[in-house]
Amino acid sequence: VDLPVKDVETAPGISEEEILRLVGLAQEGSADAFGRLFELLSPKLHQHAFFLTGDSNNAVDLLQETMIEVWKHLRRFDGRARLLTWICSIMAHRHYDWIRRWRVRATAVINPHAAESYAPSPEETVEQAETTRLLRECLDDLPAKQRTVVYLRFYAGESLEGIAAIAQCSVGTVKSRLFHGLERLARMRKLKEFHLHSGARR
Amino acid sequence: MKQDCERFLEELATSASAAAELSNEAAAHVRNCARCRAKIPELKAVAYVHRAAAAKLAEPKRRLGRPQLEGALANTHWATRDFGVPWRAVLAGAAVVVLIISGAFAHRIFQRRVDRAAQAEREQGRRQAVQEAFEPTMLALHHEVEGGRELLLAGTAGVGMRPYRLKDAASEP
Repeated sequence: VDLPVKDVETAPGISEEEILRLVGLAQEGSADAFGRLFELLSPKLHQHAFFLTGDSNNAVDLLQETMIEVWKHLRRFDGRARLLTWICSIMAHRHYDWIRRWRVRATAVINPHAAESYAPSPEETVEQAETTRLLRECLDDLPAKQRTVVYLRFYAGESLEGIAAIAQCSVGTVKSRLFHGLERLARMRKLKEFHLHSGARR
Repeated sequence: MKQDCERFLEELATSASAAAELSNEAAAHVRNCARCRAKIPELKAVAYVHRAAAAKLAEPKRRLGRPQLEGALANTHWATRDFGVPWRAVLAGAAVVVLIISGAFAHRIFQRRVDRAAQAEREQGRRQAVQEAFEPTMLALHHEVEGGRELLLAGTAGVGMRPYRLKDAASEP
């Protein structure tokens, strides 16, 4: 079954034009416009931060660091990709720095009580939480560039052209990274086991 | 055959990630290539799993509030803010200026050395000329009396002592 890539809305009910207007004001230095942008994007950004870290506390830290980074470099945003994707790419890089710095799984070491805070919410079943953890681990095992492309493509729902604009490379390079990322993921034992288990459950 | 596969890798990835159709050329290749035929379902399975997970990302329990973020931003040093200065261009310009200045400086030093060397060479030549002119004279200077005339004779000591008339002493006051 083929699922289309989810067309991720930057913020439900808010047009991209309105977001770009706020970006323009924030680029001029309006902290209020930046705060408003954060409020609009907050639900999606929290989800992404939580997906990357697998822990509520780390998600908040990651999001805060990311937003500070965004505030510092907002002038570099040129609108060739969506704002949400641009912020997600910064978040993914920052998270990758965390992983590189500690050389361990973020959930296991950054917060020793991660397992507790990772207890699935009522909406998130145990099985879903386990799947998410597995997929996150697989993504973390990819080389940084492939990981960013796979993450932005599937989780942020960005177009190949948008990813190319963010990564400052050609669309061909993005496609190549996507292919090698997917191929590497397909070879991962963990993911194969997951396919077997999910197949057995079905 | 493998080279053919390489040509269609990108298209296979795009097709798997976007559930898009393959081009006629790629589809024809896949029909004849067992390797690529096997690769497509693999890639699609991985893409499917990630798309499905992306469709239901969970919410964290803790959240970052706007006041908390604004507090953090207020503590961010203003100097770290990117004010849109094109640093790359500025650095490139600075590098060019440094190169030009150091080039000019190096050229000046080189020119000075060349001038000094030329001057030293000229000086050496002049000294040598003076030496050559006077040394033999000093070495072989003697006088003779010939026909009632006193002659001052000079010759090169090492070159066969061929005397030549340097000065007629009688003609001197």
